[in-house]
Amino acid sequence: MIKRKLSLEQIKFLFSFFEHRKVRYYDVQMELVDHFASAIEHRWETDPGLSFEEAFCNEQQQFNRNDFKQIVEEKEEALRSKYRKIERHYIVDFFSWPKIVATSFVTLLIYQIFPLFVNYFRFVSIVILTDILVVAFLAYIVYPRKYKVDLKEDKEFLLLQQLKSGQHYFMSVGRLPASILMVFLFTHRETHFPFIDHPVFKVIVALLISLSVIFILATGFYVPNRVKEDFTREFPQFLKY
Amino acid sequence: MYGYQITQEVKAISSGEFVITEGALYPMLHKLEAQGLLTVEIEMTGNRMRKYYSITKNGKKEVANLMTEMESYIRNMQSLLNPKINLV
Repeated sequence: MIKRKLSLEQIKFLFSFFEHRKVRYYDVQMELVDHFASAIEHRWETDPGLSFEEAFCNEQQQFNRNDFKQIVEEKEEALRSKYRKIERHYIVDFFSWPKIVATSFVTLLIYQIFPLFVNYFRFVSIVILTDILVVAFLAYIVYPRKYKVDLKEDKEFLLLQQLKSGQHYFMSVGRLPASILMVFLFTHRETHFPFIDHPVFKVIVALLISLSVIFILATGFYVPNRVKEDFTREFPQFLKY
Repeated sequence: MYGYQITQEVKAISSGEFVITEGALYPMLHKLEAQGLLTVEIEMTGNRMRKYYSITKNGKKEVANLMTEMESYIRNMQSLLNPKINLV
């Protein structure tokens, strides 16, 4: 006996059903559509005379109204936590051999030029302005081009959403070195904070700045690359080559 | 295995005792995938896409750890429920 299968029209109906249930991401819709379709086809094996509408209603009743929303939200959270974990590992790696050499070198360099920050206000203004401009250029010009994924069809993927939210995240992280400098130096100017010339204090500031530089590398380059790689591996059939 | 297949397998293995709801299954699968314990592959089946999950090397290790924990838990529970009391 030939097994009854869902037609293309019925599959399209399922996609629009999930679209109306606020499941806007294609990667989530796809899985739920397959689940519903498999359940309906399974039911048809024992009850071949059942209409699509009846089988669909039966299946729909097994889901709570909030189930779809919960599935999307938990997948968002799972992806967020996956890439934050990757980001953390990347940062921690800079404090292990051999990358710690580069971290120490940058920290030492910042430590050495620290008197320039403190004594020449014009110099520090240039550094802060450069940081803001470079990061804005990277976030708004380089980032969208470098991590652009050309799709065959105009579909919204939750995985690609990580790249979009990553762009704003990168913009905030990118301002960290300038913000750290501004906080410390303006505090110094206004209050003449007595520890400003203390070596330990300078080491802490230098370390914070180099940590924020690593943070920039992670959010602006490493993590978006990983997201793009994951998408290419998982959904090659959607890519325009 | 794909999502629907997992729900059916669990139902069959447990003779209908355990029923995994879809609302619980997919968040769990997505979480395990994000943790690198499962890997996915998408294939065309008929006129729709299907997402297949398979266990990774790390996933297998995690299963082995959880099984050991579970066995020790069951052993402890059994000794609590059936204590061998020595009155001598």
